[in-house]
Amino acid sequence: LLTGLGAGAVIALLALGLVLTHRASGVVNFAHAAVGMFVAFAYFELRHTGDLVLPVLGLPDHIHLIDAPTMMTAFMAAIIMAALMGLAIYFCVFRWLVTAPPLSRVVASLGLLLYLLAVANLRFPQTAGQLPLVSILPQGSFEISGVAVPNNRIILVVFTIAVAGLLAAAFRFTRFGIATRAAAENEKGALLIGQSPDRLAAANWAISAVLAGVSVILIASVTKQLDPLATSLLVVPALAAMLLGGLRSFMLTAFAGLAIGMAQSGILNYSTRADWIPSWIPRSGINFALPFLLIIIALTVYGERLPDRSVTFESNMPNSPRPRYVLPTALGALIVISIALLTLDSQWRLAIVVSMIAALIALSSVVLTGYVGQISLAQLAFAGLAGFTTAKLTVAAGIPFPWAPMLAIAITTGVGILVGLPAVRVRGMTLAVVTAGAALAIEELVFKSEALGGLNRQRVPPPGLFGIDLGFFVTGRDNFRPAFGLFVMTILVVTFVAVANLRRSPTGLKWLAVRANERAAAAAGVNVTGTKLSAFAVSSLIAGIGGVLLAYRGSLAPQSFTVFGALALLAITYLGGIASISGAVVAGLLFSGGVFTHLGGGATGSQSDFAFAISGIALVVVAVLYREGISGALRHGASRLAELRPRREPST
Amino acid sequence: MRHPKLSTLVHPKTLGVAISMLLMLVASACSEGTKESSDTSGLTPLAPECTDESVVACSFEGTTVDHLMPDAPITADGEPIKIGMMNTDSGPATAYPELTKGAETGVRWINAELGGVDNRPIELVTCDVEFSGTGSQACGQQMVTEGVVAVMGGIDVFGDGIQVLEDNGIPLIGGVPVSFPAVDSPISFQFSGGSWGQDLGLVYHITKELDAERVSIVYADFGSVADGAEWAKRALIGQGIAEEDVNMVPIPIVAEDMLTPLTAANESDPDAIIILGTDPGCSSSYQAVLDIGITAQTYWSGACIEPTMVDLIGAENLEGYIYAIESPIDVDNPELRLYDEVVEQYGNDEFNAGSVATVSFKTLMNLYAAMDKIGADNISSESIIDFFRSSVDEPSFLGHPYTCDGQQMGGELPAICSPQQILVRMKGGELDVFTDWIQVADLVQPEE
Repeated sequence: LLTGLGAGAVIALLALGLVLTHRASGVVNFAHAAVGMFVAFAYFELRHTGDLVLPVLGLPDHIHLIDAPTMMTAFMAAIIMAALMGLAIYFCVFRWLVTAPPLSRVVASLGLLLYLLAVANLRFPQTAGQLPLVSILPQGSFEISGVAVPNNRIILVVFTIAVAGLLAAAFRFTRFGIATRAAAENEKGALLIGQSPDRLAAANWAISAVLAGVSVILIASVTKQLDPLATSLLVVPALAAMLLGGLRSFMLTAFAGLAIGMAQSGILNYSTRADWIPSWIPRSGINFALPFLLIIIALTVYGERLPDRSVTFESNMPNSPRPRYVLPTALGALIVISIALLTLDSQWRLAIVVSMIAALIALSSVVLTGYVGQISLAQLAFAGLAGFTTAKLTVAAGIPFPWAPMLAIAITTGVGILVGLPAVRVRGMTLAVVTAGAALAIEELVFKSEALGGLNRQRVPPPGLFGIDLGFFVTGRDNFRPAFGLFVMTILVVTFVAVANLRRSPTGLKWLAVRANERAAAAAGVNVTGTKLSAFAVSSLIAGIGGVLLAYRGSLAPQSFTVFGALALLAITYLGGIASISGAVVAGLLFSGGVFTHLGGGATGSQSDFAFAISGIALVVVAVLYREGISGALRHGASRLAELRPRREPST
Repeated sequence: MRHPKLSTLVHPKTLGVAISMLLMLVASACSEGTKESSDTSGLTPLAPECTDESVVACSFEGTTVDHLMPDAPITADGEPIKIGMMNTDSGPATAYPELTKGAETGVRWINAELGGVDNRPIELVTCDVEFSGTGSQACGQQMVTEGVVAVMGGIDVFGDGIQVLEDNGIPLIGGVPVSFPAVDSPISFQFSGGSWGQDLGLVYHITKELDAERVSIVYADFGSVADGAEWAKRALIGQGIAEEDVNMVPIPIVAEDMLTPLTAANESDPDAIIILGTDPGCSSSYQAVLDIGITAQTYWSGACIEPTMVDLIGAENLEGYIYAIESPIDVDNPELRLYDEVVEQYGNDEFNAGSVATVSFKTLMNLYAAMDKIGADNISSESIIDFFRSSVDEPSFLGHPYTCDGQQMGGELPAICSPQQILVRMKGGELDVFTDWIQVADLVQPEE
């Protein structure tokens, strides 16, 4: 257990920063560790070359500050840089999202994460993993019960607890902390007593960024590991600690982080020696997923069925328009897609199929998040689950089409309802983190299991009905057969029409009622629990259909269904328009490898990183300025055009 | 034997979580890009010695391509022969553009000085798989549409495009075999043992030289790395070590602090610990081994001799650590000198000569030598597949001779043609080659 203290301190330090920004402005900042990552890179680069590296595209990337900076000089420069980054992030992004729904804040932080990752790749090309991560804390170790415990891990733990204590004391006893708490509770009240919520939030963001930077610098110098993506993803276990701390308590969060690290260490140690654990369960998955699963269960058990009166309901959720012209649109889509599939070349056919399947998975997010307001990061995992199950049932058990995919979709729907159970008692950002945990558990325990997720390296046999081959593959230039594309298109259109009808039905109205105000919906006689679970069932079913099609498209790999991928999918659906069916269509078109990628011709190397950075900025802009996404903008544009059209004067 | 210096093993871009362990293989293969050192740890490259205006004018006698080099440059101007290259040139998580640059550089040299294949220049069709299964499929189909006769492998984690190549009978040659299709497909021919060969090379020393009784294996629980660790376990048991004395310690791919897994590995009081972590995790693992004070013999991926990682910890602190590599690292090796000179004269872009680019250059030279033997008029996908399938101890550029009979790994992983390994040990701050080529096939144990 003691050897897990270092890992625990890593989790706890990052979780403290998350709690700080959440308490100050209600944001769960998925980019928190990424901010620390960039600051740490900048610190080590400054120490190594004397160059200050700026994170802003368009500005000079390297500025030579000093020939041989001391540790303290570099450290102070990094702290100043981190504070400025914190201020910039607040004033450019989150200041504009104070009254925005949690989803907008999630998407903005995802945009920020994408931007920082891309800029780190651009600013530190070929240096990742090669910067000398010079030690800051003293080396050496001592023994406790025969186990060597390095001094620097203990110092890291002491530092963590000290930071937690300082933050807790500051929030309890200082004027600044009390004012921050007051402003978080009631902005107008804070203004009345002479405090500026704006300044308070900005200061907290600066402190949080500094904390992130210092944390990652210390962590990297101790563990000798700093990698843009790996370090940025440390935010995931930190979220678990934050949840255990109730999103508020600094001390509880710190101890939760340390406990998770120690628990993971203990589980790893035990699981490597425990013979009773079946071999089909990936050992590394147990220690990674188990703490998350326990937290989910705890939150579900102790959560409230209905939010109490102190909870403010979201008034700025994106508009969810009532679908119109469903059948004509469906007919038009059938004609256009059919012509495209039958006339364009194989690369186009692949791109169209990719977009159609992505649109289906995005539609599952539209139902759950857009219609019912339940932020789920498990949709991609549902798709993967259905895909792997189809493959396993077909390849290993020999169950033919269509029974294997139907069974897989049924199983996925069942798992979807199971994952939806916590949603009965947790909501908002907590639910987002809980579903991320569930996705992580599926990823670690199922996809990585050779027995459950392994394909024995075989391709799934092609689907066929009534003697018609609906498979995707054929040799030569005719590959990516139109028949498969037409099959996917039919499923896509039927599913979209079904969802449109659901949205217009009483069920759809109940979904929107729950999204608007759970208490009011319950008072009006809506079964909130049943409504939420029905949405989870429908959305996981749709994601499952997408996953099945992925299996037949020959594209199943555990790497395709990661939590990072789920975040990207949610972001791209938001960009398309999270609350409308057309938003799912736009998301499908935007999806990597889809129609827009093919139209753009692709980008390579630094162009690609530049494109990712721009995508990150686009996400932030959409989250801040246009919550209905691209499809909403198109819809409004069309309405305005219609208004501008001269009307015929009535004849007299 | 002269003690070689460390290579400049610089991976192109360390980014991925799920991917980072692949760099382990990449850099392992990169051990080939060796250069003389001049600093105290011996890790910086030597400038190429040849100053002539053409590469063929320099003296590189003793390479496997001597017979292909004319006395004076010959420019190829006949009908081009199309070959493809599929690689992760870009992606949100990771990218290895150096591989493509290495191949492009080699093609420029072959066309400008070696006269192509019987005066027919090579036309390289490159495709970026963009770190996705879809991208890989699209690239596979692009190769079909372009009508290439063979595709050179780069790094493609997903490998979905290999199935498309297989459907169309287009051979995949070389690269870094990190996907299962790359080592399984009948149209794939790999000049590397991947993680499987590397791990068996380490097992060879543990069982034949160290006579270990208890062994721990710390490994990133992902794809080929995890599969390679399982192979190592089977081989250890096959060599007489009791199953309960092989302690498998998986690590999640986002492991930040290696203290915990290495403590778990050390708890069974092993004689040897094999550490197959992520590439960025080498430094972290080094530090953890030192922090814990592990006294067991440690065995590492070749990636971990990357200079910055060694410098960070100090080569003197790594005394006795053993690494598996796939190429000789003798600084006088004529093929390394030839490679350096080609990069110097034809590497239009600024890229790291000691990087993973050596892998694609090696692949290109082996494919070029094969096409030369087949003859320009007879080159087709079928003839190239036939050539490699019938190859026995065919000389390989920067590597052990290859035999692509599908039996080099005991009938499994049929695409692996040359899994042989060399072991090097850190000695006095420098790498000491202390084995000849290890025939790892002798250790292969069939899966139950």
